[in-house]
Amino acid sequence: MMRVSRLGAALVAALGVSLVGAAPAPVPVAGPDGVVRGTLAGGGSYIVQPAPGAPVAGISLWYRAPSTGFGDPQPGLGRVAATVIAASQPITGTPVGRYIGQLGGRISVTAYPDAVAISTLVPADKAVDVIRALTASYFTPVIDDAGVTVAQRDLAEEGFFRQFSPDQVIDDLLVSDLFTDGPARYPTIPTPQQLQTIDIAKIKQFAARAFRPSNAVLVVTGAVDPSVVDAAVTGPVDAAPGNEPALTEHPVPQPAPMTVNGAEPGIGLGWIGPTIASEKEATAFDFIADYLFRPETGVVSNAMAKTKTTIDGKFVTYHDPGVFLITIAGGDLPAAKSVVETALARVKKPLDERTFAAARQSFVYHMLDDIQTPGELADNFGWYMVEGNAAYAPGAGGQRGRYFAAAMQLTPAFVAQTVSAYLDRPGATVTLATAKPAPAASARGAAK
Amino acid sequence: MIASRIVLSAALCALLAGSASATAPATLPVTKVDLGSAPLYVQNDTTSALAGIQVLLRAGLDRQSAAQSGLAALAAETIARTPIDGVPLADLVAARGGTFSSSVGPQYVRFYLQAEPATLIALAPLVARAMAQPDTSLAVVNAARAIVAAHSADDESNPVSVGLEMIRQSFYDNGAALPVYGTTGTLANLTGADVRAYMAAHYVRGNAIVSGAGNVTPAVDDAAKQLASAFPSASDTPVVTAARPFGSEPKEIVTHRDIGVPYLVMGFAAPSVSDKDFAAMLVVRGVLGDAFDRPSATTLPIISRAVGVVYAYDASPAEFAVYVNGSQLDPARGLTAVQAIVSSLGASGMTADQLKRYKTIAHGEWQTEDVTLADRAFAIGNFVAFGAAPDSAPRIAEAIDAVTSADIKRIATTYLKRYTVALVIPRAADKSPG
Repeated sequence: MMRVSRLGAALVAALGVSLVGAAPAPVPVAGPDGVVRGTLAGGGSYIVQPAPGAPVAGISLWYRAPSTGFGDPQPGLGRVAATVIAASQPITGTPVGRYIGQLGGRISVTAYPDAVAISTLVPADKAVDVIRALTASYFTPVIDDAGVTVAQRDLAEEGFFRQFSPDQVIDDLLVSDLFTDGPARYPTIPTPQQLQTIDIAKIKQFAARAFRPSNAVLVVTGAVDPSVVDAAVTGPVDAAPGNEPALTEHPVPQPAPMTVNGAEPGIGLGWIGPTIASEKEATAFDFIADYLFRPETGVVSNAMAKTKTTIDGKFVTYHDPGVFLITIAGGDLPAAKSVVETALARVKKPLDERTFAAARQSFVYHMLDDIQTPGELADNFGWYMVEGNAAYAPGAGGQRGRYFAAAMQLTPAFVAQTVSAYLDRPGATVTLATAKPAPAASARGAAK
Repeated sequence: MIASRIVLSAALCALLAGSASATAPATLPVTKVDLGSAPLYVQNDTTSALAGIQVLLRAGLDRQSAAQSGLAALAAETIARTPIDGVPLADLVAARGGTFSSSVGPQYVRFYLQAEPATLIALAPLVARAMAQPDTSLAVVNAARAIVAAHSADDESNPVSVGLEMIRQSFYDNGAALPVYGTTGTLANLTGADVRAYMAAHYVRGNAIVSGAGNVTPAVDDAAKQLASAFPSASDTPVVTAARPFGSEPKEIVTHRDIGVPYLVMGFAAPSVSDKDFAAMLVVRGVLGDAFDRPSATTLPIISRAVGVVYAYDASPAEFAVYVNGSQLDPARGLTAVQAIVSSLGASGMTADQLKRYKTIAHGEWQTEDVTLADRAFAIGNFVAFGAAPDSAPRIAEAIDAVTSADIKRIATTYLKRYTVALVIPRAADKSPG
């Protein structure tokens, strides 16, 4: 486990940094939705949802932060900074990424246009140590050359594999096409060229603001007692107070069709959707995404099951606004696009009551299934918190919470009306084309 | 309703009762419910929104003859495809808000039903009906056959799956060595009559182990009873599966697939879950899984890992496989490095620091191994299937903490000195690592 060494103690004194847990706090009490919420000693928020099934803890740190940084857009900066910190050696000893691995746990960094998350799944009996290590590493970030080198390699490899994933490439392009400016215009993983332009100074500047304690959301779920959050360190005494505001993006009135070369042909369709505050509308879009596109059960997914085409559809509940994205890759793309368009046209009219009731029952089950593990639950809470509507998280209050209440309030007419209201507006269209091979005649000519 | 719930682990209960002020509550106990037809082993969690019930049947690969290769999978899929009110069972369950799945292992076939408790209670009679009266008509068997063939094709495109299958085929001495999904030829020849005969012989109550996890209410207990009672009250002829002896020199098996880079898989014998050496083998898994990874900021995805380890303890004797990802590490170098580590462990065991490090990793990996309801239900059933106590998970964690250097030496010399090597090579290439 991580301890404050003598050197560490000297640095604490010299830098005005507090690495130890805060003084004993009042015993956290669960709210009516069963979730324990509170404020960390150094500012910021915490959410604890005990779930005793498996001897594990899902522990996540979430931050509101533009993925491109706070100044001139620097694509990928949020992900790079969080990854570099995980690989850098803090004054307390082992890089936190390695530390989690040495406990037999897992750690990942995820970035969105408006947020960064560091997620772990660890043995429950190490939850206190992990909370201390994570908060120490991110509240008082140390960034070193070795960490930059390791992170650059990780991200270069991730970016390399990502280019062969047409759905991810298309998602990035669709979101970029839907907004006039802001971080959504850029993928959250930098290109190799962009990666080289992100130096330590930029990372430090970003980290000091984005990862300050008062901007943090610490989420802990699993076989833990709520008192584990007492292990969170306070962080620098001179850190800026307050958290970053939720990000409002600016939609393009009339997105232009886009054609880009890729590793595999594909088609993307995207629309602006409701905000996270519009709970019933947002839930209607989640319902439609599930009804049409859930792997193995969705209407469109089943229709394409015996083809070589893969189709993904989802609603992303960003703060303001959300986006509805569909990607089609492989096989007969025009035919698949036709299936998708037909399905979308059908859901603009009310489903019959019986079909709707069955679809909603499946939808509720799928949502519950998607948050059944501590890791899934922690990320679910983190997401809804940073997007500005924590009480609407599906994990909050379970089936008696606001998310599932909204689901039960849906009607066929409301769903059809909501889908029409958003999808009848101009949307983004992305075509992923593959570079044509050299004409056979040229090859023959060369041979001569 | 049913019988009493017997708490299997009084110690765990006492721990729970005293855990109110602890920072990490103990895990939930496993209880045994007498269903009459078969016991139900369940880890009940009233905070869970879902419940999952698993039926393990001793009707896995080792029940097949060579000519029947693929029959175990075809029979299991026939249950899932059996129409209930005109809709295939698996689709019906999905449409009503649940999951019904099946899988086949060397010795057991597994059925799993998951839903909200109230939904599961409503679905159980339908699942039980399909289990009791499977439709083995040509149309249904053909639909099942198509799905089995699709699973086979998926596995064929994954070099790790291909390598593991090769290792298993050389490891066992009977039907457990057959391809899970059969071969194109054998699968095509299997008939509805074959499926009926297979089920009649092996889908019997005496072969069943029922387990559950999640919000298993008393009414869900009743639902589990319906599943267990779906099979006729009979026992089956025992079958004994053994491992083939390894030769003094490693056997090398080579195959070609449409893949980008070569993969090498080393297959070893391994202790089963009820063996006293199981915990020590988990520590060795931690060593081999950790030794080859490059420094990384976060947990490497599988595709970026140089070496992976698969401990197949869903059978007895169990298998242990180490694979080398040719995109990250030259397979020949990987093979040599694994040999060197095994040799060192066998000769010297571990230093105190090494032992502490890898026991911590193994302890954590074990605790995070079975997190979903499906995995937790599987783990409980798997313990029972292979002679361990149903609540073995925390005991194994404790056993990991007690592993000594002498245990590691014994593991290395008993299990890891002899092995088989499977090479999966891109079709365009043909280069042995030797």
